[in-house]
Amino acid sequence: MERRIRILIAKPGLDGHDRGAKVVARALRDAGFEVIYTGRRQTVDQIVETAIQEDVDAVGLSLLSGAHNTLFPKVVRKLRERGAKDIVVFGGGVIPPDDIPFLLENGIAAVFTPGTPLSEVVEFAKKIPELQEQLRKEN
Amino acid sequence: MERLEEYEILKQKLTDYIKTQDFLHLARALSIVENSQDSYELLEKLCSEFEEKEAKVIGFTGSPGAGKSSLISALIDKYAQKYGKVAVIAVDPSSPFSGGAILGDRVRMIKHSLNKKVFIRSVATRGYLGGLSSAVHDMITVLKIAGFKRILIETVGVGQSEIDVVEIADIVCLVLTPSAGDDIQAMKAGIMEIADVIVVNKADLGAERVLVALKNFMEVEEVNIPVVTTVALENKGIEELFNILEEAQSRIKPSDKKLLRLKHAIRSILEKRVEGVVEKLRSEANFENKNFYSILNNLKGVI
Ligand SMILES: Nc1nc2c(ncn2[C@@H]2O[C@H](COP(=O)(O)OP(=O)(O)O)[C@@H](O)[C@H]2O)c(=O)[nH]1
Ligand SMILES: [Mg+2]
Repeated sequence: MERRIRILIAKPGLDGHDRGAKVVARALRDAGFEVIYTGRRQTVDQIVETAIQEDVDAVGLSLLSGAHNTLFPKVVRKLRERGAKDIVVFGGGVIPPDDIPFLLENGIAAVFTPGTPLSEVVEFAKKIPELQEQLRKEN
Repeated sequence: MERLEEYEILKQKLTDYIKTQDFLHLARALSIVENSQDSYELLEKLCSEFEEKEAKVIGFTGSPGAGKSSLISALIDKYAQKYGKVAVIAVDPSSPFSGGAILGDRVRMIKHSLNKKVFIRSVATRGYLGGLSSAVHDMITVLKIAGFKRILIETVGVGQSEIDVVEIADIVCLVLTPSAGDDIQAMKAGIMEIADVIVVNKADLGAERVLVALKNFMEVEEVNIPVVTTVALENKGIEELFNILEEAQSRIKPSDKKLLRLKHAIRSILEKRVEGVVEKLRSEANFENKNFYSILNNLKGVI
């Protein structure tokens, strides 16, 4: 059977609704991706273990609460510690532009802020296999 | 990937899993068979080198929203306790338009995500001609080799997949809800034939009507299928359901279903080949003449 790119869309932290995450999930599905959706209020460990069992190619994190600077890099670190060297991590949510360079330096492959066209997220997702290739070389 | 290389990696991952019990390796092994173009070659080889241990597959089918995922989530602890570990494969349909899918069954099983005895995997049907992804068959084989004695499969009960699940599962559990009352009259006898156990879930919403309808239906059809009422969200009826499923396991002889499963395996391989032929034919069709009938007419000689 043909390979399909699998993406876990997860919402760490305790903050509110998951409309944004669902919109992204549907856009990715409509672009041909397989999206594993786990709902709200996931701990970092739950996200990491789910990514492992589902053997996803990428994890997309959605966060509104402002804890991105700690939570996003923590997901990357724990994934690598857990042996998932080639899972791409990207994030979205209410993230101040000043925080983006820090996140990119800490292993987040891309950051999408509110208002980013969905097509941009889809274009990014198409590049996941290349990014994985790169990660395999690095890690 | 080269086929030999593909096999070597699969073997390595599975060996690593058996040695370490780390789901990381098992998950990768499953992806290899799920994505393989020639999985039957791969699996034949695998089965000749590894022992496919005795295991039972329990299929849960029923309308979307009936509570299949919630029931499985409630049952997981019982299976994990009795058998040391348990695996769940949750199947959702791929979009026929994009080929993509949203796999959301884990939402109801989240409390098990850190339990080292519980392995959960979401699978898309990937636009197969039949209902259930044929990859599910292969993944079950890998899980059996990996030592899971109980494997739970969730399938959306629409169209072909509810029939398919019989050919994959040793036991089929049909999940209904109180709102299914009217449908039961209209239900084809076929759907009852596939069920080994019937669950009326969401009994908190009032199960009387559906239970009566079921009783009448079974009297007319002269069948006698165990019926359990549950409230998955409150863990009610779960112990009884578990016991009935385990009991059904021993009641149904494996040989009864062995032939069905063999037929499924053969069919899925044939489907793969037919799909290839259909694709080839379509690519040969002449779309210059945009008339629907002309296009088909020109293909007549080929088919
Ligand atoms: N009232 C009630 N709701 C339930 C029960 N079991 C599940 N649900 C709810 O029914 C909805 C669908 O459940 P889910 O397990 O996802 O169904 P599935 O689509 O068959 O897997 C969810 O909102 C559940 O919370 C129950 O026993 N009683
Ligand atoms: Mg479900």
